[in-house]
Order: sequence, then structure tokens, then C-alpha cells
Amino acid sequence: MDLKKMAKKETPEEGSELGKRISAPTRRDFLKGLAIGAGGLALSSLLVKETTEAIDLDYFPLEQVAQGQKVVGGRIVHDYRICTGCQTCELTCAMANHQEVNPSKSRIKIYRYEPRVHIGIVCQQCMDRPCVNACPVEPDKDGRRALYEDPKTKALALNTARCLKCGNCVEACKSNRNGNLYQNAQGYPDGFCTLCQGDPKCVKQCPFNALMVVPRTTDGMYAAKPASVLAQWAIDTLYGGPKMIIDNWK
Amino acid sequence: MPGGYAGKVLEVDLTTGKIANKPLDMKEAQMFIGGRGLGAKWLWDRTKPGGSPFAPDNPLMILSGPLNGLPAPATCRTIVVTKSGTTFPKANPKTAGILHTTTGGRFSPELKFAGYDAIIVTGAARSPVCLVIEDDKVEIRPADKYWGMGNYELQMTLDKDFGPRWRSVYIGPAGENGVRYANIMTEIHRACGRGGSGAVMGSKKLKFVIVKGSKPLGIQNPAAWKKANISAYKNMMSSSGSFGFADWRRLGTAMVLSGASDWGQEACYNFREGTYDKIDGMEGETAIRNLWVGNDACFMCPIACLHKGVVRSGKFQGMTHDGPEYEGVMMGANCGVQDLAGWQANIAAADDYGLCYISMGNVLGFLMECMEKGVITAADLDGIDLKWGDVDAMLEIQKKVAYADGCGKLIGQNLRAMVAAWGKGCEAYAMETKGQGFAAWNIRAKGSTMHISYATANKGADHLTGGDIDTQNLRAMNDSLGVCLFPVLSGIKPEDLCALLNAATGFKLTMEDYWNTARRIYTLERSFNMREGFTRADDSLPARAWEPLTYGPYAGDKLTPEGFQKELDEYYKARGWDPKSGVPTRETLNKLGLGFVKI
Repeated sequence: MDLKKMAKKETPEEGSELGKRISAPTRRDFLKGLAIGAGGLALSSLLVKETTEAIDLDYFPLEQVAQGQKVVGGRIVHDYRICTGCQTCELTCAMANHQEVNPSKSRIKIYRYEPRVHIGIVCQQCMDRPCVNACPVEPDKDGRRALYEDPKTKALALNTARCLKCGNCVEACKSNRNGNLYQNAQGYPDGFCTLCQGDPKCVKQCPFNALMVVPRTTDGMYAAKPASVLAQWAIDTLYGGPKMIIDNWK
Repeated sequence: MPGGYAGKVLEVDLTTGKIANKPLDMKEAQMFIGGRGLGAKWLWDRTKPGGSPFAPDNPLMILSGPLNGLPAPATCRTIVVTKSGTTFPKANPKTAGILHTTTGGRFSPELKFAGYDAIIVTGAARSPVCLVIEDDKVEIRPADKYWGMGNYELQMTLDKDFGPRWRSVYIGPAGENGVRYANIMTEIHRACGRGGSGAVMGSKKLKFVIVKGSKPLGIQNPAAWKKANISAYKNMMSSSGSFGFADWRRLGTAMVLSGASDWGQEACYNFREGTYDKIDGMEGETAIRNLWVGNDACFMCPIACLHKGVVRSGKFQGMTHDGPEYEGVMMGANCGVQDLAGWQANIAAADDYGLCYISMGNVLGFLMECMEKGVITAADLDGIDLKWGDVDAMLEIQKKVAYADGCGKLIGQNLRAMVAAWGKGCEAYAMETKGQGFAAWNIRAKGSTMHISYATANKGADHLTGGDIDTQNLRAMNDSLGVCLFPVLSGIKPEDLCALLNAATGFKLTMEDYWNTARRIYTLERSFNMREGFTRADDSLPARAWEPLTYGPYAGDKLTPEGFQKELDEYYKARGWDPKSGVPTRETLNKLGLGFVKI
């Protein structure tokens, strides 16, 4: 089976399970589809249909992010096809946000699945904000709860003074989205992404450019899938789907 | 506690089930750094000469270095030090040499994040157990459920039972069944290769160690760290040309698959030739086109030399595995294979069983030559007609070895055992030093220094030890710091590593101290071997080294016994060891701060 056939085989039929899962492609997928040809063919036919709404493709060019251009209203996407699982982003995040060499405190987490794929899970800045909506704290005069969307970066921020440590937001993320939010040792929610105040460090440090900031154009329920779901999809697309038998030398 | 180190050593006695913690001795740490160095020191302290590697009192040490887990390039190596399951002196087969072996992956950084610099496992359990470490909570649990699993199945079960963020080291069926060249493995295909670390772990009935940590590591001097780190990254990522950074990333060690053949340094047909006549379709470029789907990295590695792949057609269609990388030659050219997918299947099988595919390939090559020369027949191999390049027969032999079934019992011992059993002059085909089979580099072509590495390496014929003293010192330090060798090969300078070590720990080592530490570590390992009964006669090469190559651009090249002995004399002199016996002199020992060593 050559690559072209594999790609063709993987093209999901309309209305199929896989088709539903990728019904909300990112701009990055689109670019990939153009760039890598046969490998991306699977996606591009769908994409042409789905991305007719004008997305400014040059909204967050990586070079300018690298040069320190502030990011407003973006989300970080992770490309499992490029990611090698080196965890550089994790250490970078933990050092930037917690001043600690401690990947367990990182707000982006890389999960390894077998056959080997690495799935990066990071807050997808869901536009409908289930975590913020779950916060029981009364909105203040600016309409902010304890967990709120920072108008400057359009990313999440936490007011620790008002947080009740109830864990509702964590629960909301876990049951509805990718579950990257967790309660830290002090009881505060952690794991939400602040985009480093508009200057995302992990994106800049990735040695393989597997991370990127894209505009928020889709709802979080499409983008923020749990790692295990994404992993199955990634394994299918990377290794050729149902034909895969990991130990057929036996 | 100064930065860099986690500060605690975990001691586990599997016989009594006792788990203890002791603080890391910082004086010792400053002398031996960590990893391979500290392992050698502890092994020296904890063992008496003459014990079997499979006795319960042989400590199995899983160590990290001071740079493991810190944000510098490729701080990923997990180091295992124990008595070797493979190497032993010719005069006294009951003892064993030192084994230091490293693997990439993510285990030792996670171990440090859990708060431990090392795990020392002694004793032996009665039934299969595993060690579960989550920060301060350490448990020995029964592992009957996992015993017997191959590495693929085991890793996937562990992912399910614990979660994909837990890091583990484990053994496959080969380790459980005491195959003398079984590996400790991690993440399915990364291995603490050579020397039977898996057999030692199996003798303790320890199936796996799994760890998850959430503690921070410290850096003593962040400003100096930043400076050194930038210099290290710059030196590495700006290296260009062949064997530059881009090559490492694109092909990994597979970049020398065709190169080594051109230089006459590849292991072909059980080391008969250095240039492979069937190299077409067996090089990295073919793998890029037909096999690989992406890179795979260890912790903090910007290179990602491994490539995950999937076989796309033929009998093995759909098989996913990493590789091949250069040492895979042992299963390829060394066995006369010209079938990329079949080659890959053999590598995958070895990794699944937890066999060292370097040693296994060496043994397979030996068997094939024995068959060809009529030393053995198919009847000796339980009816398997093993011919050059027969990948299916190779798979069958591997299965027999891993499960110690029939002829696999003898083959799973080592080359010397087979030579003793079969005789008929087959020692001429056994390519080994100190009992350890050769790795995938042939030694006879001009320009190769690998024969010095094979002959003098403390762990037996080892391709990573280094062909001259400077290289050996450099790599001893790498293994002690916990930094991978490949970033160093692609440009990081030892000065960068020394600066990183000083910045992390607050030590004030000069470059002279740095190299002295390397000499100290290497000489201590040598002293350990000498205490176990090794002599200069064990630093030998098999007779094939004196036969000329017959094929390729380096046809006619060979080593001479006289030339080799002269090189050894010079080597010992430069090391400060007695040229006659090969034992480190008292003067050298005192100079290196090894006054406690008595041989």
C-alpha cells in the first residue's frame, strides 16, 4: 500500500464517526493539507468545504510571534504529526508560569500513546467558556468572576483573591472539554492558558515548530478533545488505520 | 541541597520488602558526579569480588545524573549500573565485570521529579513484583498479572492501568527467562543495551519500575545556567555539513548506514566483510521513503534521532516500530539481510522480547556462519534451517531464545557457551571480547579506532566507550551527567557541559577537574574488573581481526597482533596503568583520589 492509497483510504465518509470528529478543522490543518500534498489530501477535500468563511491566514505568523508580537484572541494548537514528545514546552511553561523546573505544573501537557504518538493537551480558550460559566462567584462591575477572560489577551486569568477553590471550573472542563484544568495543591484551578500575557513562550521554544497560535474560530467542543480521543485519531491517521497490526511478526 | 541533584537515594530490598531513603552523600557526588560514576563507586563499595551477577546481593542500580530533568539539551539518559550478565574473565567464568549502560526516554527525569537521584534494588523477590513510585509513596506490588507480557503489551497495559504520564522501565520475556543478553527496556524500543541488565532484573523477579513525580528541581546559579545553556544550544543547532545537526535530525544514526559500508566499517556476514554488497534498500534514505512517519525524541532533546515507522506493504504490512538505526545493522548486514521490512520485523521482535538486538544479531550471525561452515546442522537448532538473510528463521530463533525453549537455552547463554558446546573450531567465528559480542562496527579498515574501544571497554566489546582516551573520558562524563551523546556528537562542547554542571550544582570544577573526574570514573571501573579477576589477556580481539577484508574499497585491510599489542601498551601507559598487567598503578590511583582501591 503506498502513501496515496493510504491517504485515500483514510478519507472519512460524510457523516461517519471520523468525519464528525474532524468537522472543525483548523487553519493549520488547512495549511498542512496544502503543504504536504498526498498526506494531507485526506483533510483538504473537507476543508475546502468547511473553511469558506474568511479566516485571515496570516493572522498570527509564527515569525512575528517569535519576534514578540502580542497575540490577542488566539489559541495554541499542537500538531501530533510533528511533535516528538521532547517536553521542551512543558519545562518552558512551568518555568515561565511557576518559576519551577517541574513539568507536572506545566499548563501544556504532552501525553505519549502507543503505537507512538504524542498528544499535546493545552487550554483551547473555548469561546463558550464552560469553565468561566461554572464559576459560582458573583460577577463584579466589569462582569468578571474569579476565573475570567482577560480583555487584553482574550485568554483566561484567575483572581486568586476571589476564588472559592470550589473546583466547579475543573469539573466543567473535565466533563465537557479536554480536562486540562486541575486543582493545584493550594486548591486553586490551574492548567488554564494565559497565552503568557500575549507572548506564548512554549510556542516560541518548540524545537520542531509543532506548536502554533491560531485565531479562535471554532468552538471548544471541537478543538478541546480529551487526549485519549485525539490519540486514537492520530494513531489511525499516522499509521494507516485499521490495517495496523502492531505485532504481526508473531 | 545544591541544585541539580534531587538529594535522595531510594534503597529497596526485595527479599525483605524493606524500603529506605538515604540522603545523597554530596562529597561522593562531587567526586563521581552521578550516573555511571556514582554507580561505579557504589558497586565497588557494595560488592565483594567473585559474586555471581544473578545472586540476590548484586545491586541493580538505576541512576540519574545531575543534569537529568533540567532544561538543557537532551538531559534524558537513564543509567543502569550493576554486575554484568554477559562479561566475565576467561580464567574465571563465575565472576562478572562491571556493566554500565544507558537509555534515553523519560524515566530518570521523572525519577528526579519524584525526588530521587537513584534506585538501588537488592535481594530477590519470591514471586513477580513491581515497584511503584509516586513522589514519597513507594510500594512493592505483586506483578503476576504483568509477568510474561511482551514489551508492546506491557507498555500499553501500563498506560491503561496507570496513565500515559507515568514513566517506566521494564523487562520482557527474555529478561524473565534469564537470557544473558536481555535488556532493561523503556517505552518499548529504548533499551539499556548490552550486558544483560534485563537478566539481572529478571533474577530479582522485578518486572517493572514505574514512577511519577511532581517535585521541582533546583538550579543553583540561574544566570550562569542561562549563559551556558544558550552556548550549548547554539553550538549544537548551528553545526552544519555532514553529521551536523540537520543530518542528525533527518536521519539519526541511520545516516551512517551507507557511509559505514563505504568506509569498510560495517559489520557484514558475521564481521567477515566491512562493505556490504547488498546495501541497496538498506539505508536511511530508503527508510525515509518507505518506512518512517515522523521523529521521536527523548526528554528535552532537540534532535529526535529516532524515527517512528510503519511497514506499508508485503508480509509485515501494518507493523509499527521505530528504526532502523545504525546498530540495527547487526540484524541486517551482519545476517546478510536485504529486506527492509523483514529487518524491521526482527528489530521489532527483539525489542518486544526485551532482547538486545546488537547481541542477538551478533549471535545470529555466528549461528549462520556455523551452519554455513558445517559446525552445526539444522538438528542443533531444532530443525530451523538458518541461512544468510532468512528473516523468518531469524524470528523463530529469537522466539526460542526469548522463551528459553529448546536450542534457545544454549543460544541464550552467550557465544562462549556455544563455542564450548559445539567446538570444531567455531571459536574463530565468535566475535567477542570479555564475553560481550561485537557491536555493528567492523574494526579492520584503516582509520577505524573501534578495535581499541572493543578491546579496552570495561563492559566488554562496546562501540560507545570510545576508540581513544579522550573520547572515552568525554563519554564517561556524558554518562555520568545524564546527557545524551548525540548532541555532543552534533556540536555541544565539553566546556558547555562543565559550565552547565557548575551552574546547576554550584560546584567549581575547572576543565582539568572535569577530565580528572572522567579519568577517576574510568579507572575505578577498570579497578573493579581487575578485582573480579580480569587481566590484560582479556583485552583481546578474536582471530578474525588479523584476517584481511576481501571486498570493497578497503579490501586487504587488517590488523596485526603486534601492532595491536603496541597500541595497547601505549594506551595503558597513557592511562597510567601498568602495561604488563593492565592494572592501574598505585601512583595513578592516589593521584585520582582512589586511595581506597585495593586490588
